[in-house]
Amino acid sequence: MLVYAARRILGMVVVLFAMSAVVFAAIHLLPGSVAHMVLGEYATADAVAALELKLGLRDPILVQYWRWLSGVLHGEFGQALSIDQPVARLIGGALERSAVLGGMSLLLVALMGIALGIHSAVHRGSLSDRVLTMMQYTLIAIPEFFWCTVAIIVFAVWLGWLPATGYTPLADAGLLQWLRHLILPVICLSLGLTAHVSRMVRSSMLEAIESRYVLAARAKGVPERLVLLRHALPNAMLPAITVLAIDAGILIGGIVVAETVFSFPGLGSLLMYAIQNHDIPLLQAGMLVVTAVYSLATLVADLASAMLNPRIRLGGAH
Amino acid sequence: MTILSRRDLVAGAGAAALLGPMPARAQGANIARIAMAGSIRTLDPTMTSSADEYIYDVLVFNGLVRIKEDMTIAPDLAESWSWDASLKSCTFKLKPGVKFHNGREMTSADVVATFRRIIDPATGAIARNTFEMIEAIEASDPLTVTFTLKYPYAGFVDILGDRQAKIVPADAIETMATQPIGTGPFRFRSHTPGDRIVLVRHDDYFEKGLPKLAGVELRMMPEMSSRLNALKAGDIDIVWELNPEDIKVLRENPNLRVESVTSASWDTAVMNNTIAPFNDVRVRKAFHLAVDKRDVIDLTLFGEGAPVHSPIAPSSAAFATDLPIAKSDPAAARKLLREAGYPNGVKVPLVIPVGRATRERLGVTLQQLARPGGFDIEIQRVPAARYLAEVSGKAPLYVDGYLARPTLDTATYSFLHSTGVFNNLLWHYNNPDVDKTLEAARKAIDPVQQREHYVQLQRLLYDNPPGFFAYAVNFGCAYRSALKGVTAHPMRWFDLRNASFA
Amino acid sequence: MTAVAQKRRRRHVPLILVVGAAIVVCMVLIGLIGPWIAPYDPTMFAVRSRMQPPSGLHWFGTDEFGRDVLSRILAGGYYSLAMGFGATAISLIVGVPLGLMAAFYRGWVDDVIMRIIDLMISLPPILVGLLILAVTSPGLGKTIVAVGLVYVPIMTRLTRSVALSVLAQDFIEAAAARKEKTFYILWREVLPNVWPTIIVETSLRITFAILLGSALSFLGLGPQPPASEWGLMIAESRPFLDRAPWIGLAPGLCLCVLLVAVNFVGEGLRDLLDPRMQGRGHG
Repeated sequence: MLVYAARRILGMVVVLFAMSAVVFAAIHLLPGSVAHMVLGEYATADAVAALELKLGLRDPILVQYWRWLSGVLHGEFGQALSIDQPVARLIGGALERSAVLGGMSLLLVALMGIALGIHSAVHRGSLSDRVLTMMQYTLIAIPEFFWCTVAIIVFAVWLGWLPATGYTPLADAGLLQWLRHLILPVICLSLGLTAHVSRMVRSSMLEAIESRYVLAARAKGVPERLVLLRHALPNAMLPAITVLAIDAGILIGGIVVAETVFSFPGLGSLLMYAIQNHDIPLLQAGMLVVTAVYSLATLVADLASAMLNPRIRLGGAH
Repeated sequence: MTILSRRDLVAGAGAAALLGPMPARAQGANIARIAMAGSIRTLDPTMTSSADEYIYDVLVFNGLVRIKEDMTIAPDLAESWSWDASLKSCTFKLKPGVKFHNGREMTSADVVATFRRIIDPATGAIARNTFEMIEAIEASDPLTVTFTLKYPYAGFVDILGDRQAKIVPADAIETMATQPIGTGPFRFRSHTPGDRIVLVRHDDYFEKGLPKLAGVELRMMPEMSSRLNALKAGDIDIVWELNPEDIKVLRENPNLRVESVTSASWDTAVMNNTIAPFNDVRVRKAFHLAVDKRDVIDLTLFGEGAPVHSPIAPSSAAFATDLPIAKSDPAAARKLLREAGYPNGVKVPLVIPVGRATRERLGVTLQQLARPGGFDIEIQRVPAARYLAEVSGKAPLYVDGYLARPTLDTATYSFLHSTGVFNNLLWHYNNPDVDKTLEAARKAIDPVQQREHYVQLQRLLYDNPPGFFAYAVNFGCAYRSALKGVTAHPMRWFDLRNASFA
Repeated sequence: MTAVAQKRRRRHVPLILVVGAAIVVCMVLIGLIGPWIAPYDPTMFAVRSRMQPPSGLHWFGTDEFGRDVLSRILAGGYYSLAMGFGATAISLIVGVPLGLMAAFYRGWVDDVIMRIIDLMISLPPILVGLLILAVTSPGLGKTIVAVGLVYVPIMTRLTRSVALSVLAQDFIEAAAARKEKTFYILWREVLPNVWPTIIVETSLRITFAILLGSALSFLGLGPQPPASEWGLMIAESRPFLDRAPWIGLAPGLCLCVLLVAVNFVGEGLRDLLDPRMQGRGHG
């Protein structure tokens, strides 16, 4: 298992470098330049040329890539091109905010998903189970940006309870303001994933309930509540962890959309900004971070399912 | 005096932590807070290039002259100026006793250093194009500066009020980008990127008794809706560049004062005059017959703008009021297209920039309105970063727009003269009559005569349009009612010297 | 044997499959004939009736240009369907042969294919889509290709793993002993046994293809205005949410109905064909 994990992490590093090269090449194939974005509509050819020279954009691609790569290897992400700020600081701040958003969403998904899943499994066939199952089929298919739009209309425009967009730092505006900006995005991000998790928990819980040793425990006269808590639940938890890890990956995609709708200054908004502004160092660093987080989530998911199901031959089959 | 118990203090602190700091007004601070989109890249005025940075420029620095809200020129750091007879040399007398924020007195050496830096190609300042007529700058004594020009240029004094033409200390140029020092009414204190710029009152400001505010904060809020929410909540005092669709709604709020002033910033559908189909003046005129500019303003700007024939705005004394705005006449447009050799109309792509809501809406509006007139338009959205490489001066038809410039000459010459820098980035227009009119206008020193030339220019453009000048877009601003003594400037900045909270 | 399993053995057609299929058929019909049954020209401006709330004249109201929202929805359904089915078809056409090849040849072919797949799968789908569309200029066709490519790795992996188990069976060895051509073995012997799993996966994949396609459109990277793709309509409605929420809500609800129905079909097919494959990935 350890060897497998180490190999996967090594593979991840290779993937990160390959990806950085692909992104770098792709952005260079794009016509256009960050210099024009910086200088605005009154940019003249000589001003653009002067700025490009200053930013080193006139060097050959390979030289530029090497400069970037050797910087990264020394832990230097350099300076953003479109804003006069170090990339590390921009990414760091955005990552922190996105992590809060993603972490809170994932926590909510875990709590709600597991609770609802267990409830459905224990009360299998009941009205509440059937309603929940129906909701799962429905919620799983509805896009985040629809929830975001509805949430803004209902809670910000009609009721006026919560701000429609934006973010205020915790240190700046206090806990309440900070939370008020997080509530809507977190809920919108959680709905679909909660449906997914609760469904998986329900089916693995059912499997556990029907398993031989649970039947045996019941036969021995162990109280039902204890059977569920001691025997069924632990066996249903590992699949839940797998699903949560998969959903952490899916969440990253959702965060890009939700941050755009809610104007939340996180990593997703920053990546969109970098793409639109041709800010290559910023885009590169952002992609590296997102890819690393996503790959880690996938790795955790794979390891968890390997632990769950020893029949999966590690290393061989991908 | 009320005595607070320790418990009160603790409770108060707890509530403050929970609810966030109270609005600055409650603390009695005399600070105006302006919402910004957040595109602050540099604090060095010479290198500034975004609308956000221009707001900052005007608060921290002074030019030799200033442009007032009615677009007339007033002395700023210069006390007076005089031309020689050839209109090729202009001498400025500086005001004595003007102090930089570091306490040093401003002298002619600073002026010389500032402008030499602007016109040095190695600096890469975009204002270099505006000041390309400067041949030499000399200081004959600490308060006298003489500009020598390459050709007679009557509007030279006026362009010294432009955004980047701000005087910086010659000995601190290296650190301007991070530790800016100016002579302006407010002094730079701090910049937290992505959050705010804090400016405080310059106590040694050369105009006695000004500014009235204790300071200004520029708060970065990328999304307009969060800016408006903050304004309504009283956390912000000024929101500028309102979306046209929001202006009417905001006017109904009793706590706010809303202004929407005609500005000389314009949007256009650029037509490429060198490639088919718009290389034929009849096709360009047909487009004008197909689309009524009043409809465009209604649909795109929700009425917050005015039709124009050139970059000259209706607020200018030189606007040609006698030229009609064509009513939509699809039949006439198709007839003209037939004459130009397009019996079945023309099919042409229209490029619009991604993420600029108003210009995107302009594209969709034109696409639909021009259709009955025989124009089959397909919209292509392209990121603004690719405009210069792929679109500007290349695409047959695209939407673009330009920020107001300080003088009629800077607003027109480089856009319409056959040798103009921006002409060759836009439509490649070549009309000898227009060239002659522009040349005559820039030499005219008599305002009446100058006005004649510019009216003539608009007539020529009406008969032979280079592209579709859609409108001059209004500059919409909303203020907390308590903030007095400030009005929207058509150049899209704020003079806060006289601003105060009543 | 439990009652549930017995029920499944009888291959009862699940209710959600019927309901889902019925709605999907309606949606496809609307997508095909929508532009002709629309009450108004979907791109026609009407300055005087801008942002009108829903009424007898305009069932779903009018938008910021005075265009009839219902007509725009009817004309735009086609895009979502094209993105869902088109992208899934691309992922099948590219992904299934790759998976079969990897499983059949093993060795370096397998290694190369799977390393590329690893690279593609290590990025969130929406970012892959964003990057592809950043390099080319957006449009319906390109969005379909981008979404299709994003889902190729999933199809390849799935096909490969199922094909591996099929290839290990006796009848393949028999075919090889008969000296059948590679293509014949893959096409006639392997593929028919891989198909049921792929069909289930495909039907579920369509939901996510529509989702991703509309999300990309929402971000401005899909069909271009004045096209009335539903995701784009929602994006364009955002500045007017406070004054005219119906501009965004109406296409949003339609998109949800379509997505839920397609998902019902997928889930129903899974219950019908492959009850063991409960609840595989999402996204």
